[in-house]
Amino acid sequence: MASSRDRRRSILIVTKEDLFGQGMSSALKSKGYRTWVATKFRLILDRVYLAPPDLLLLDEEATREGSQDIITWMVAGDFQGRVPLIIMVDEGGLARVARMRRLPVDDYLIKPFAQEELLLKVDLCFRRRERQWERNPLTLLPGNLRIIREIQRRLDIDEPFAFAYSDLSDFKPFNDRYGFSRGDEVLHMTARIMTNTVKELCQQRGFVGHIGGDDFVFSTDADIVDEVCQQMIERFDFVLPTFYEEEDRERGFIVSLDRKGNENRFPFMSLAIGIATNETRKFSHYGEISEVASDLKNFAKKWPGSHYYRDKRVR
Amino acid sequence: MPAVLTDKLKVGMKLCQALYTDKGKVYLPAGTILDEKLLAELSRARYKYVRVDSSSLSHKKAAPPASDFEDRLEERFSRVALCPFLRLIKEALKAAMTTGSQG
Amino acid sequence: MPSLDVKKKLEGMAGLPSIPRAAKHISELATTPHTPMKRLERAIGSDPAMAARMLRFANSEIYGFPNRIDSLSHSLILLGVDMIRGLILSTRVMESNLAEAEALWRHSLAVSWVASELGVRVGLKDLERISLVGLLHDLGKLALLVLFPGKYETVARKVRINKLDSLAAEIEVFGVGHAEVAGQLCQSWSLPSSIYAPIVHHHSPDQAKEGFALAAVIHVADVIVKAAGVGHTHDTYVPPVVNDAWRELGISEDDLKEVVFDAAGQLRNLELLDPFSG
Repeated sequence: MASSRDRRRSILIVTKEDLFGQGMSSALKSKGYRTWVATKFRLILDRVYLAPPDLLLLDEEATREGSQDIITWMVAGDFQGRVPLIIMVDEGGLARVARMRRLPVDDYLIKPFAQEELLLKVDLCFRRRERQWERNPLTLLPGNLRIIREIQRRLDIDEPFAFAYSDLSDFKPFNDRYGFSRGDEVLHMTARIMTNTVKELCQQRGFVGHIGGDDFVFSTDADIVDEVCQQMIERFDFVLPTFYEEEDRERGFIVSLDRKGNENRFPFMSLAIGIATNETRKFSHYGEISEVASDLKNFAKKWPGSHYYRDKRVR
Repeated sequence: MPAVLTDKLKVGMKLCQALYTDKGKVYLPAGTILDEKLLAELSRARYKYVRVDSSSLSHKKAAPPASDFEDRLEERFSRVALCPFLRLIKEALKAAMTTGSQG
Repeated sequence: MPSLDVKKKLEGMAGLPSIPRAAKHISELATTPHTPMKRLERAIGSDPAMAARMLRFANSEIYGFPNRIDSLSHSLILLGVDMIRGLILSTRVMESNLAEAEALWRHSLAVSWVASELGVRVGLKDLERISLVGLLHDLGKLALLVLFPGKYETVARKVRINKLDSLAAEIEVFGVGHAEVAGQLCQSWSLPSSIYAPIVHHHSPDQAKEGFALAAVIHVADVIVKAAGVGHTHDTYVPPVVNDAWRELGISEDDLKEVVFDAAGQLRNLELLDPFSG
């Protein structure tokens, strides 16, 4: 899905002053951004849900009209990576911005401002984001660099946590039978289920990343990782058949090519998860913990169906 | 034996059909009388509605007089030619009416 | 000409409104901590507009599997709790024509229930989808009612005075019937054909290229519910039944009698299926 990378960036401007908004909009449009001006959040909720913008330019006033939830949802983001937020304030408003705890503000503009300043701030914001928020182009989940940084951070603070490495068994024959775009759908579905489950059970303390292909990782508090895995597996197995055609669903397997190019039967895909925790042994860097989790994942793959396997060697 | 939406079940209602788990095991047999604990369990379960014994329903609406019902039934069917199938439906509705069935 | 007008209006429509007490009930569940997901799902699955809303968002491009998700429970799993809550709290509520909307809603609920009963007896497997399609089968009517309240009044008058069935009256007034309207909506929302094909063909299952059996089940359930007189303020007459539908379903006379008999009793106690009352 190159389109998600290549398409023009969209910017949502929310301000009560329509003229002011239109002015900014035409300046940004001249630089190739797609823009979209709204005076009230309530009026554009569906559109925000269906196609979240790449950047939010928010007049401070708009944060006061009971739209906190939707703003928080949008900028807190999940699998999409969060939406950067530039807040526009009057000169006297800086102190209030400094106190804003609920909204993760990335930058500010003091009204009135020159067009050049607006364009520069927006450009810098995107550039900063590019550097910090490297992500998998397909699922938009954090990619390798961010995974390493995040897990290393957790190892360094030395609080108990669980790290899981996961992949899809029998993904390749599925791709061969149904084609890559259907395979991508399944990866999207997997990413969605992982994110939702981790977020529901762990709130902000969870983390999900996409290494590439059908390899995913996630991290949760150590004491609930079993529940997270059980839920995840249950949901994955429940939704998965939708991605198969009815004839395959009826017989419960697919016919595809094996590594040698011969026709063979393959079971439905399954989710294999291996978990390592720093409760029972000490890991000093990401490479170590990821290797252990990956080995345990391969162990989980030995049984048919979706399974997770947890390191219990040292207790 | 009316179906009752799971959220509408009340203590004392009696199941007239067994409930099964996804794997086909009997979860609650027919004849089970619901208590508070079962109600709480059922509100978390996947069943959308369950069938209960109509005698365990406390409220019954007074049915309109049968003749009224038949007039309205005739009126509703007045636009369609009665194929065998529609005739069956109509007869079954009449039968349900005249026995005054609650389900 | 008039059908063009409908098409344009449909494209500009944000979403369908829920009936107020459904929206209220569902919002309350959604904002109560620890509401079991199954409970929320049942409530959402009892309001056509809300259920359609969830399917629409689960099938939206941004998630990466448009035209794929045909079940409400799958939709909810894929949307996640935060998104579900956001969608519920930002839903539109029906403001006028409440009596018609309520009647239509009761009818939809009844069809959903009768279709499930029929579906089991003719051996259809995906019960969740039957009940969902039953719930959604008259989305087109809801859309017409919301977009053209005045003109819909004309439809109701034609039904009453000229004794037309509602589909025929709609075609006279709008140039297009509610089944087709629902089809357009479903397609613009990227819903999978396993959902919209039976909805589009619930008055013409013989023309369904896909999902004949389900379209036929909905068709027959719709006829039974109308025969039993449930949920109509203007749609007073039993519509003609498509012969192929009941023949090919292969439902036995006894099974049919039983379903109708059950339905008659059930439909008099409809509040037992109504999650939003009392």
